Amino acid sequence: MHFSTGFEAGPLDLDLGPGVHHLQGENGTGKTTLLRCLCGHFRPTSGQVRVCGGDPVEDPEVRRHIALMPAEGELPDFLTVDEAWQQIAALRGASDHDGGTLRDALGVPGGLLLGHASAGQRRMAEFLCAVAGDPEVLLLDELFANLDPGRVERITALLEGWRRDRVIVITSHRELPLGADSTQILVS
Amino acid sequence: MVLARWVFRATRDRVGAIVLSRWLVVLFVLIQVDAMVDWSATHRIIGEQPPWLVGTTVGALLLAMASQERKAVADLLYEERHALLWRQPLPARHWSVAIAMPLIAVGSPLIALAVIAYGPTAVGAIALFLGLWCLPAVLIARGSWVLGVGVTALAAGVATVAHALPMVQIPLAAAVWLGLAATLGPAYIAAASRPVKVPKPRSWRPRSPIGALLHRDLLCLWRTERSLVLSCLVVAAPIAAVTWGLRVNGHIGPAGLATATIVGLGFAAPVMMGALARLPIRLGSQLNPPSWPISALTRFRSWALLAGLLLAPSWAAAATMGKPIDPEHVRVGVFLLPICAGAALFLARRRGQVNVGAFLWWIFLCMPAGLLDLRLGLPFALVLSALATGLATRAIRHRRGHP
Repeated sequence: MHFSTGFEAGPLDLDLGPGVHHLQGENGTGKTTLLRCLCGHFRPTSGQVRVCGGDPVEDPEVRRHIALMPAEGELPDFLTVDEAWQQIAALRGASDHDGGTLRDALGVPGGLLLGHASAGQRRMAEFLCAVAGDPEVLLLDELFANLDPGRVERITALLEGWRRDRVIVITSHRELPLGADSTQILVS
Repeated sequence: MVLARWVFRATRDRVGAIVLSRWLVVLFVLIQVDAMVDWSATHRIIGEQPPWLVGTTVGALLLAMASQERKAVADLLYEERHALLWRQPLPARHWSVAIAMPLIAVGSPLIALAVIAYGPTAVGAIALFLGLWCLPAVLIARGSWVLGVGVTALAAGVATVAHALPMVQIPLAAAVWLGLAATLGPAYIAAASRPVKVPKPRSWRPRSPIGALLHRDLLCLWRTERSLVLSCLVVAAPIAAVTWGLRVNGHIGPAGLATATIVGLGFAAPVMMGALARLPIRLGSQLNPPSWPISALTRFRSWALLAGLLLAPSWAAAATMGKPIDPEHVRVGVFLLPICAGAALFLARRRGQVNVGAFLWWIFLCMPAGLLDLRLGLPFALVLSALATGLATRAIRHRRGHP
């Protein structure tokens, strides 16, 4: 992946199956760029990306099965927590998705306006949006940033339950609180 | 002084732009009317009016101006950059001087009002009008309407006294400004610290991708640019009035009423586009994230539907007031089809900001679709809509996958 600024990420040869995959690397080695290529945000300048057998850039049906939780919060301030995940669930064709149970388990008020939320609450809202509609591929960039130990524990328990049938890629500078099935280290 | 310098530096560029635009309009109007108006007679006539009438008129004008400039004042004085200073242990009255400067600048067109009413030498009236405007402007900009209207009523009372006793205008103006020195800053800080309304939780949720997209965009406009959404409602009123007048007084038939509706919607369309143009500004990269599992056509359709929703009040108003239009609504619909498609096209192909001015040309281009006979207008509308659809979806796809 080449950028006009001169930044390069890759080359990479990666094949990820169900399980938890820890993506490590120093700042600027392209971890976020890789995740954005996997979710169809960027088209690689060379090579190809296949997720669930399809091209995530060209095929919206493929993107239905992929969720990206960005490191920097991207949800608009004017939405409430419930509105944010309900909209994402509807975009994924899962309008009946019950995110309320998970929201209550994580202890985030559904009517909380994202503009008034703390950094940790916004991360929870981003996580709720990421898992809305039960996508098979979860790309979680700095998942545990700004989270208190209690919430880290709850999310870890969730991910443990999902590791058998979902591809979960987590970027983090530190060791994950849950065991990783593979560790990929990116170098510049 | 530090506070005043901070506010001055933070706001001077935008204040300059606001003042320039307002005074261009004021000067244009004054130059036009100068040839027609005998100013001495005007001053005499205003001077002979009962004080309560003048006071009430001044109050109403202050309220109208505070409402009109509400967004400008809010953007200047209640932006997040000032929040750092709100939290500091500074006496609230220190803010009185700091915020008076941009308020006087934004309210400076009131000078023209004072000059028209009392002549160019009425320094007391000028100072009084500017002083009376500051507190309502600060309150209404933060949504404190009840308090703002109450203070405006007091201002109307002061204006009544000033008109009844012209010799006390200068002392009255001095008293108003002394009062502002003590109250303006505290009122501003109290308004800034007021808890913001939180939306009520609703049980409704979107059931489809198009529903989710419409829901999100409408919430964005309603919660962040409400005045623009309300403008789309307000513009329906003159359309309804003209349609009704043509039907009742002009005895115009369905074809003529449909033509009038189409022309009216041609005026409403830029208001709609002005609202839609705020979406990319408010949402930025979240307007259409490439990772969303929707096709370019779905996104295009959601924007076109949104455009239609914003124009619906105007169409409904014309339909209600021009009832015999009924069979001719097809022509109106044929006109709106490429208008909505074009609005989505302009959103999709924006470079930075949406070019609302260029959209006027698109409206002009769509006019024949509604004004011509259906046998010509409908194919023309379909061709324009298809062109807009193709270009828009191509632009949306092109943005996807490119950093």
